[in-house]
Amino acid sequence: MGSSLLLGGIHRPRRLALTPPEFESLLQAFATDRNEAGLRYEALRRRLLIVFAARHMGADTAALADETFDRAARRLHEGVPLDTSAESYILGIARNVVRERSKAPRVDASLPAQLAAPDPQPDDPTMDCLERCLDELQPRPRGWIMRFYTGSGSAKIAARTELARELGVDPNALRVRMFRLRASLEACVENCLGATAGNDSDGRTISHHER
Amino acid sequence: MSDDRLARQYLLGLLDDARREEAEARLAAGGEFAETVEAVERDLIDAWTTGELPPDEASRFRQYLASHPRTDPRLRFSRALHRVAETRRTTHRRHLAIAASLLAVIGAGYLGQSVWRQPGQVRVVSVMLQPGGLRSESPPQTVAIPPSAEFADIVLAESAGARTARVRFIDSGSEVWAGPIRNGVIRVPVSLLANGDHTATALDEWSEELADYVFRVIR
Repeated sequence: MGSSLLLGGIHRPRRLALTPPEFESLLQAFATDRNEAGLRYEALRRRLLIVFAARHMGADTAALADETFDRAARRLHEGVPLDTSAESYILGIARNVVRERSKAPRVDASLPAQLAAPDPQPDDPTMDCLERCLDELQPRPRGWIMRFYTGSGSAKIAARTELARELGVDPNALRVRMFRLRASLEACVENCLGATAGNDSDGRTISHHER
Repeated sequence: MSDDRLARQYLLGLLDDARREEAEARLAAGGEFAETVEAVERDLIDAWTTGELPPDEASRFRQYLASHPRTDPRLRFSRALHRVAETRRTTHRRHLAIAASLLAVIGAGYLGQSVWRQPGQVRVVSVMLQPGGLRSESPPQTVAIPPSAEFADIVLAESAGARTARVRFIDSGSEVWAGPIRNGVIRVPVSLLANGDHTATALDEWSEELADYVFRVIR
């Protein structure tokens, strides 16, 4: 499995021999502002993982994302003109990667252990971290989260409908709003668990940092 | 087809090639649809962990999960989130039940107010207030503070669901106290209460105002 380097806080794939100038070319394709480029790069990487997973590309989708960015970076560095958005261009490369790999699709036949994992126990550090992260939220959004994720079946639907009505938004807008809160909680929990200290966003070990 | 339905079908692999490519392009482009896809993905993860996915969708989503590198922490997070939400809801309901019981007991014995010495030797004056705003026609309820009292335990009737309260001195409009409601009761140091009219406001966990209680402090 490939790993990544951190370049100015941005994960740089190093599955293939990607040089810093090539990676710079990739970032420049996103935006001249480095922070904006980094955000767009990370967002697209997250979405490419969805694309690969939705196409059931097997357990190595993180490596496929690395390979996609690697190819894009090298081509852009070679001077291939970009006549569309960076996202659209890189999605095209991702589709090529899919086509190449689809000759031998790799969907795990066996159920990965984590899919059948038991419910967390009270001493599970994830529970402890989540409690802490929830307490860091303002009371109002914390209340929304608790209401949105409580209950099941018709009771859950009724609670969400009521919450949407109170907030004056439609159900899909509420879902997106809760997703943003949840994403911030996920990041907080991940930090709390110390995962980011030694792992990148795919849970893979980062061997060293580079600036 | 609505965006959330399109996102769900995309993630479950139910779209034909053309629609899938269209969804992919919108996903990669970012914006609202991309957020919808990620939000629906979390919904599906939750439904997976709680066993609420129909068998055919569970089978399809299983393949998605098996192909996503973030599956393990997301499943753990989903299970923890639902566990914590249920635990907090149960605890909250238990507190409300205790508060209701306490209010019933106190209400039966309270026809005015009383002073007693607590085990910690703290003198407390206790009073129960009924909700009523400034425009209430009835005169303010009275809280008579004896010289020996150190705290006022104010029972806020009908404050179920309230988490915190604040007390304002009406003449100046200034907030003199803010703090938690425990079992329907706020404990205010009497040194903060000047003679005159006050308003206690009960707030829920989202800081929404639930009820006002106007009372007059006399010594």
